[in-house]
Amino acid sequence: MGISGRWALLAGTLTALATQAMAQQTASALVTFSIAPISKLHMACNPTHMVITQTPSGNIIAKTESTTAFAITTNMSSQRIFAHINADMPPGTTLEIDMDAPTGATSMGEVAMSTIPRVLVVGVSQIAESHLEVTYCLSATAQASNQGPVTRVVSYIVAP
Amino acid sequence: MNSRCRIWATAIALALGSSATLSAASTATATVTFTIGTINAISVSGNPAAMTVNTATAGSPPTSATDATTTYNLTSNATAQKITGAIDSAMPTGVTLSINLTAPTGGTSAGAVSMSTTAASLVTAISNIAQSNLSITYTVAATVSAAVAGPLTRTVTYTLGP
Repeated sequence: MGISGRWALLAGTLTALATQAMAQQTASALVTFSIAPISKLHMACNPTHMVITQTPSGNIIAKTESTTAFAITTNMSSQRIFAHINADMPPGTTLEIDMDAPTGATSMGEVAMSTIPRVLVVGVSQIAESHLEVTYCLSATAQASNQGPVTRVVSYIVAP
Repeated sequence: MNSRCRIWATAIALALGSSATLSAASTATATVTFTIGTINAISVSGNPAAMTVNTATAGSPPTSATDATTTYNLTSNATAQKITGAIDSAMPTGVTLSINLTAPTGGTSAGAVSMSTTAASLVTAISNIAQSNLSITYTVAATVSAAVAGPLTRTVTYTLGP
């Protein structure tokens, strides 16, 4: 190929490259994101009013209510569900709560409530689940005086 | 040659000379060569604000974070062009970045498209258009299995072309 031919080839190549560059262009954007720790617990509703009216034939009578449920979402591992009440139960009465465990976790069964947080469920990890049953059990001995209606507010917490 | 003949000869010579001059200056031409190349240009107004997945409705997956504060501009004199998008590295496990570009007039948006390192079409059927301030919506979604992390970054590259 002569000198003129080489120049023609070079010119043609450069033209083709320039054409390609102009035919396609780019722009860029930097996306910044974070995944924060999340724990959310929701109680569907209050349990119905539990009334102990029968004279106890034994020392302890109980009333159970299982119409409520809870939902939970957490993206963390090895969380626990705690619960406590806002004031001590009246003498001779006990409130116990039993929460169903979400998948992969373990329920502690019926746990007597006090103003000190008690563990109800352990091993809650990276879960989003709902319609998990909550059972409230109210018991009274013969020493429990006639009273009511009495209320206690149960606070549930999801924490390590 | 007598004077009359000289006058006639001069007149004739002048006439022939003028004619020759006019013939010599009648037209001239030049060949103009030009090209309209394929032009594609795209730009974005900036980076989206930082997005954080930090809440959920109990019982449901975490709530996605969204940013729609940025826009893009484009010019193309070609037909049937498209905009593709790709990120520079894969998203963390359980985390998805989706991008939704508003289509320019005559174009078609693919809606919210999950980003990966492989270029994906975001808008197609772009033809002969110059338009600006078209919205971009970024969405970060995470499952409960996504590890707590951040801030992390990904660079999105938009390409306008055939």
